[in-house]
Amino acid sequence: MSYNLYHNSSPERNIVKNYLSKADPSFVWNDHDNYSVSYNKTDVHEMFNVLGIDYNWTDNDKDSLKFINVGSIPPSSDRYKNILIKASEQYDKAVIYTSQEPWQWFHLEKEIEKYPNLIFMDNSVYLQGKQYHERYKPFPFMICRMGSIQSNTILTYPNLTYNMPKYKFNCLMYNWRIEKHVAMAYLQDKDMVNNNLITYRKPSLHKVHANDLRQTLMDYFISYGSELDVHRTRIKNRAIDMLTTAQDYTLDEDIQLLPQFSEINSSLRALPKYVYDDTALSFVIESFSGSVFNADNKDDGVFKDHQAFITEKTLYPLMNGHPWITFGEHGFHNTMEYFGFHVHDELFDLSFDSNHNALLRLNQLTENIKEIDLKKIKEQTTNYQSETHKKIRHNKYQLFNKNSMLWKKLRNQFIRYLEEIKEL
Amino acid sequence: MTIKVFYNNEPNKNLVPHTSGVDVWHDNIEGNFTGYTGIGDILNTLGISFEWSNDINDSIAFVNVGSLNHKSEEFMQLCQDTSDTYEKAVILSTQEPWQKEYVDNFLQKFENLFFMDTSTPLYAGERYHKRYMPFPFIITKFLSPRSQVNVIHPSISYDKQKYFFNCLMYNWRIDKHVLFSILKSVISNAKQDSGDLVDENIVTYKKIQNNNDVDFKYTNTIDHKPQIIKLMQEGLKEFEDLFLKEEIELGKKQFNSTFRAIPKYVFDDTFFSLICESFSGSTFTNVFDEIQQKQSIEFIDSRPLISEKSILPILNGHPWIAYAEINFHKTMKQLGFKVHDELFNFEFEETICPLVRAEILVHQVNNLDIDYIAEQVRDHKSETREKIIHNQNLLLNKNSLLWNDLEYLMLSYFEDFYEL
Repeated sequence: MSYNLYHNSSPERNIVKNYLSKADPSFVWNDHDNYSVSYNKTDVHEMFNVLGIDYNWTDNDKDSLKFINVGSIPPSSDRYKNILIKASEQYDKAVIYTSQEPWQWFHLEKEIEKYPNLIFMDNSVYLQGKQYHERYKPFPFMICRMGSIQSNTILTYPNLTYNMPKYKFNCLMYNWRIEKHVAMAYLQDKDMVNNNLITYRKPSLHKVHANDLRQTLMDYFISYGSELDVHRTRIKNRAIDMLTTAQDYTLDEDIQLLPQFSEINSSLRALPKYVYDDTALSFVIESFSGSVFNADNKDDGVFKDHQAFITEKTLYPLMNGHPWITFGEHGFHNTMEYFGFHVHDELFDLSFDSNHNALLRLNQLTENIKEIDLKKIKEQTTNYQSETHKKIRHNKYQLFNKNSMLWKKLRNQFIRYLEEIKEL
Repeated sequence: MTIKVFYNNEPNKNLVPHTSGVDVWHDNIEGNFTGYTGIGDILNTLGISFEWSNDINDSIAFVNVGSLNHKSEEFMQLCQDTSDTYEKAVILSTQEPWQKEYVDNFLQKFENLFFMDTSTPLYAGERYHKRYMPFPFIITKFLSPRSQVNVIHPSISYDKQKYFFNCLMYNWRIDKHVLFSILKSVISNAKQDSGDLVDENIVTYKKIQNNNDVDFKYTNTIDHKPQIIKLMQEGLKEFEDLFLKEEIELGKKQFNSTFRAIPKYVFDDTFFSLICESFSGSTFTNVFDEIQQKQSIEFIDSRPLISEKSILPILNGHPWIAYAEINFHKTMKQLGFKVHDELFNFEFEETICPLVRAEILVHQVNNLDIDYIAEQVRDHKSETREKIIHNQNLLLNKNSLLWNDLEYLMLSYFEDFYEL
């Protein structure tokens, strides 16, 4: 089965203009050179390639799939809204698509209703065995991107050294986000920063004031019941205090393509090997997509639109064969299992995973890591016959073997979507 | 079918240590040898289901020799040790091609060993020997993030060319020296008062370190052109190194031979890539084709080598033509690639003498109609651009004809291994 992909200028180019401004030359990643010249590229064919789905480009708008790549344009922006209006007017049916960002339910709900001829496909993890709306088709494109040599330049190490970790874990939190900041507050509170390999960047004062991060943090903590116990209140105060007092933590050395190729460096996935060799496990602070779940009724915790978000932050340690545990959206490890990955329940009690309260989840998780004996992890990682090692190999196989259960699952799901889109 | 791959130490590690002389790329990371073997990554890329096993009775033993010189005593010793240790095993190199005379010797000497090198297999049903399994591993390595790091430029510009072609020939090899010498001897037709083809294009070259053993007398054909021989011999002393004005580095680290990147301007600034391929030394005979009523080439052991030198321009969407072993483009076509016969005349590639072949190719390139080439390269609806997209898809789409054929080929090799 081959699918026709529509183009209105030339193959592999986006149907809409990507250029935003000199300072922000494109909303599609890897789409501009060092002089801010946008190629107006799209990446939907890269996803077809990595999934092994046959396709052709056509400028015939009959019997072809129209993917309008909106990249990282915020759904609240005028640009995004204008694209939707035009797409809806111009085409009988079109897919508003991004392989880069997840969209939140409150945006989707309005747009799905407003534009009955548009289908929405974002970078989110689809629900298990059900679909929120026939015109919403979330797909974990980040997994595809990590498997695509077109989308990313990836450095993975063939074999790590497992026998001489200096630290219990690495936790990479550079580029400020609220979840990273809160995780840093917990790590500091539990005195887990200095003895481990950690990166963190505090927000600039300008950002603190311009975005009112103090209030944002207050709201975040209150939404997770920080006023209900002393511990959460203490962490909240620490986190707010850190907005001005925290220090940056960086890696001793980092890997970059030289000379600077801004268009490629944005998709370079590379860490120095010592990050893994020197640590027994990767404590990953994942991105949060804002997936919605029904917490108040009997379907407690069942996701509504899409489930816990998976990004390169978790996939990269897996590709390198490093044991991992993630602070992600609730049910994150369960989601990983759904895709065929093995989680390290031989090392950790993963009961925290189902807790809907992010603060309680994080507290339990960091406690888990604090309690685990470095010797225990080392015993597992230095013995290639251990359960941990078997899981490491299994996970690498899932990611790298093009016919693994993971890739079969993704391919089947994507084809199902394409067929549904044709039927709509 | 699930293949079982033997390990004697740990899964995903070579059966022999690097101290035995084997030289596996990506094994030496920042000075530390990790014992890496590439076979698991090859099977992953091909989508072949496999498991690691330490039971030799139900698994295939791959001894990865990497770039260990197949003419060396160490290589023979390794074969001997492997032959003594295992009932049957595969001597594997995903990096280098071996020539027929050596393969013949190995096959004869070690009856329980199979030899799998980086070469392009013969056409379907024309296997040279049941225990010789040539496979184009370099193609496979490109799709394996664990085998190498690739920089594929998101999009090259097709409308900013400053030069006719690029020809990257750094690291001295005799074939590169041949092509460089001829390019250096021909005045470019591009414009009036042009310099030679090296000066007027993006060309790199590196001088040989020790020129005592260089012999240009490939065949008798060249004896009729002593001036070319003279040119090449003089060039050994006279030619100077030519670098790119800018190279891509990955964090100033050494990833021996597994970092594949060419700066974007090399493609942006030129209309096409004149590739100087590696020559594997595949053996052929000249036979009379009854159907076409003319002499044609029949390969005996393997077909021309396809290396990263060709793959990287194709992946980056650049038009290409190669100075390579005889019938290289024909081989590419048979693997599913589309060659640029809308731009170039490929009659040169049946010329047996490599020197004459290079000479015809260079003159052809120099006489191309630059306006026509520009039109083809710049028009996204042109035949050239359609071929570019076709070739990229052939390499990048994991279920393309190429990948299905390669998977099938590898599986058929395994069946032979089990049967013999």
